[in-house]
Amino acid sequence: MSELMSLKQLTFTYPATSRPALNDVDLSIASGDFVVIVGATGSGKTTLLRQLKPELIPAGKLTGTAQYQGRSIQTLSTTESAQAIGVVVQDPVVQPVMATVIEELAFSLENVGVSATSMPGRIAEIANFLGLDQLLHTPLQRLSGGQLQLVNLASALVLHPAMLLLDEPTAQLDPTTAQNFLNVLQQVHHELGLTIVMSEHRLDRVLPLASRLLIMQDGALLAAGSVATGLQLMTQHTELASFVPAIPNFFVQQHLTGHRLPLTVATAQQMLGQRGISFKLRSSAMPVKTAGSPLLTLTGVSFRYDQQAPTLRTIDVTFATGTWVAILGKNGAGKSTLLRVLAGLRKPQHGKVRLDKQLVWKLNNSALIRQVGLLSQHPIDQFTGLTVREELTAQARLGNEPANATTVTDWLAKLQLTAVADQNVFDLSGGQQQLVGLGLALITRPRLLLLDEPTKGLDPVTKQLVGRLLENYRAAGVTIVMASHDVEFSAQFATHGTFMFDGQLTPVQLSREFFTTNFMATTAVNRLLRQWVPQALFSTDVERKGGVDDQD
Amino acid sequence: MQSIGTQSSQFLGQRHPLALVLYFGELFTGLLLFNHILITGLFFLGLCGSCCWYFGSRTVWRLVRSVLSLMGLILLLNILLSHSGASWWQFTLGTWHWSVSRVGVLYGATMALSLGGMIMAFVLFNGCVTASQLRALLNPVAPRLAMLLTLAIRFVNLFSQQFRRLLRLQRTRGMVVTAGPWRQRLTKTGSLLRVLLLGSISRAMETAILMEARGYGGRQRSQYRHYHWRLADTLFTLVASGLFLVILGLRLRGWGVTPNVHSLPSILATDWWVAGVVSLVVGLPFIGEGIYRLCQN
Repeated sequence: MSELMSLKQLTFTYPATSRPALNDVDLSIASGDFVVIVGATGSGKTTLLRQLKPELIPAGKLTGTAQYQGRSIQTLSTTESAQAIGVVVQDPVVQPVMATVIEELAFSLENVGVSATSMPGRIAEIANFLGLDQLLHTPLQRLSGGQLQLVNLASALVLHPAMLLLDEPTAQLDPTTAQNFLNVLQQVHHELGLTIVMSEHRLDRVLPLASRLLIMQDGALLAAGSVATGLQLMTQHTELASFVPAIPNFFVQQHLTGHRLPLTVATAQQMLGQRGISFKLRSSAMPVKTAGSPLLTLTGVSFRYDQQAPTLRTIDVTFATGTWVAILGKNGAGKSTLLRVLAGLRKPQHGKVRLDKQLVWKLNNSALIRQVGLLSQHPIDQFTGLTVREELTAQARLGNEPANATTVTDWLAKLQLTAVADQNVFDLSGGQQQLVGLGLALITRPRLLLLDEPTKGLDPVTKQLVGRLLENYRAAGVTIVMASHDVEFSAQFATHGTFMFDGQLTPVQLSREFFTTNFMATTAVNRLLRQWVPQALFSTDVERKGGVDDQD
Repeated sequence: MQSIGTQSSQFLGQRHPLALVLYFGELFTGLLLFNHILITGLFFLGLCGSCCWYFGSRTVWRLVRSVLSLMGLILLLNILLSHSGASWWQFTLGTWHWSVSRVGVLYGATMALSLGGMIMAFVLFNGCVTASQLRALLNPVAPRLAMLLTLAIRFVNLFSQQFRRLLRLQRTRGMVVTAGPWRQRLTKTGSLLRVLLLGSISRAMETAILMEARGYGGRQRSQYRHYHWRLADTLFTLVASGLFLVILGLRLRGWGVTPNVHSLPSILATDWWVAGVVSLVVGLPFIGEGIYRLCQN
């Protein structure tokens, strides 16, 4: 296949920093490639992606060359660039500018001067292809995150680009919606032969689609090759091992590393079956976490937004002290609304929410801040535009314990934010903003923590750090109620689980019981092993009964 | 306010933006021309009826409730400040004497109805003429301004949504603008606006980059939506303009106008003539919808 894009000795340094964000990167992307870029937060994934389109190149010092079809990308005009290279970013709401879907699609075409007679055909074609034809006149504010991301994809595709750049496009979508989005992307790749370059943390669903894997570490391109080679390399690197998706990681953990690692449950089951390997549960695999006295009680809570169907329907539930309850559910199921009701930020039309015996919306704000910590879905909405250190210091003053510089410094270290302590919060990466938001929720030492998608935008290593930090607080008696799409994280750390569906919560169950009885909303290892060990959630839960080890 | 629904707006929803802008221009001018309570009341009620037809009575009732509170405030201020003419009710407490004058009540009601009519007319305009229609109208004259206007309308909406979200979530940072002494509330509102501005600028920068990434700012901009001027637009504009000219003529003859505050309560036969023509102007969309339905195969 012909070379579409090439980077030669590309080095990029952001202003006011001495360390390059990209260091001497050489890369060639062929036409028709599906490239996935992987690496820890701050490894340079997004910076690399942004070098591939002239309008996205950030301010800073750039050396080396980036060429598109043999031409320096800097020489592409705005129109040429728009028609050749499409882009979709992480946050679905940042991209749209018009009021309805059809206007948004037309916007791209109008910008590049497509004639009015050609536009309807191009819009119709792309809307039908992506299943947006029924939504053409829907206001964008009424679309779900998944639909909005499809519109963003459509508004890039309508220009018939040769290449698509996607920066963690599924990070804010629930697993089902994310899978639907990736299915569409796969269809686009297969049927249109588009070149796709995508950065992603959650590799489990993406790797089966990819033809090449780029591994970034500290601004350098560690490897660029086939997915199989990349996976083998990641398993050997301590810092990258946690990026390996659950299924191939299971094979590594169980020493089943042959000439290739499976990427899907179906392939993995086939490989295990062929080798005649089965598993049994480890005796120590079922830790029981007990619950304390009731802390937060909801009775008959119903909430509806103006003129809309009820979002919450007569919810009755009790959250006990020292529990960590994971609430799963699709985008728009009402999880965030429920958390805001629990935080006293929304008053339900019916029912009561009591923290101990007090109604949450009757607590004065200072008392509420001392007792309840909230990490919202968009932490940026909780920032006041100061530096990281100043934000944490200001919030600590509202808390239960006297704040001092040492406390804040400790928190910065705990959250791995020391390096960016004096940067403005609005200038941080999405993952770092998430950590600042978490710090703001925790620094007041609340009894109740409400977390809305706490792992959004975090790489696997940081996710583990956050999980362990929260686990320590839970063990110390803090109650955590968490809305999450991250099944693996929830299964690993939460003590209880429940579904939000049709405005109600399903009965809250112990985490292991909840996840092992779910058919789809469970860990990859459970889906893989349920025929042998239905109680298993992680590779550490099982040991092999027999079979032939490839390494033996 | 939402755009008008296609079921209820088979006629008005299909009119050329220019025809709609001309009609609403006449409507707004009509509201400014007359100060008689009969005419302003008619405008207000007629426009409420139109809004109910196009947006649904529940949506309009929610809006009217807030408009009524504003109208009530204007009425109250007039009652408190105007004491000329005959008194309807008097009250004396020690040295303090206060009276509710007939003129104060009626003049206040007229002003309130006029303001209410303006708001309802704007709501109807906002629902009938979408941002893309306005853009289509302005595009041949000033394409860049047309696009900026569309974006501005969209971003004002996003800005207000963001403000409401911040109002809630900044409470977790101790920023409550609805409690405490007024000075403190003002300070916190200022801080909140600063956060809103910082956050919005940060997002707007990202949006601007992504707009450019989709070719915005290129030289050869085209336009997707073209509205065609049809016979119905000609008829609608001719009838609306004709009625407007009649209204203008009547106004020049001094009909439907109260020359001084003391003659407010009287309704003359000439006022009824004006009321009749105003009813036709306000009811023109209904007449159009009716004829359109009659003409269907």
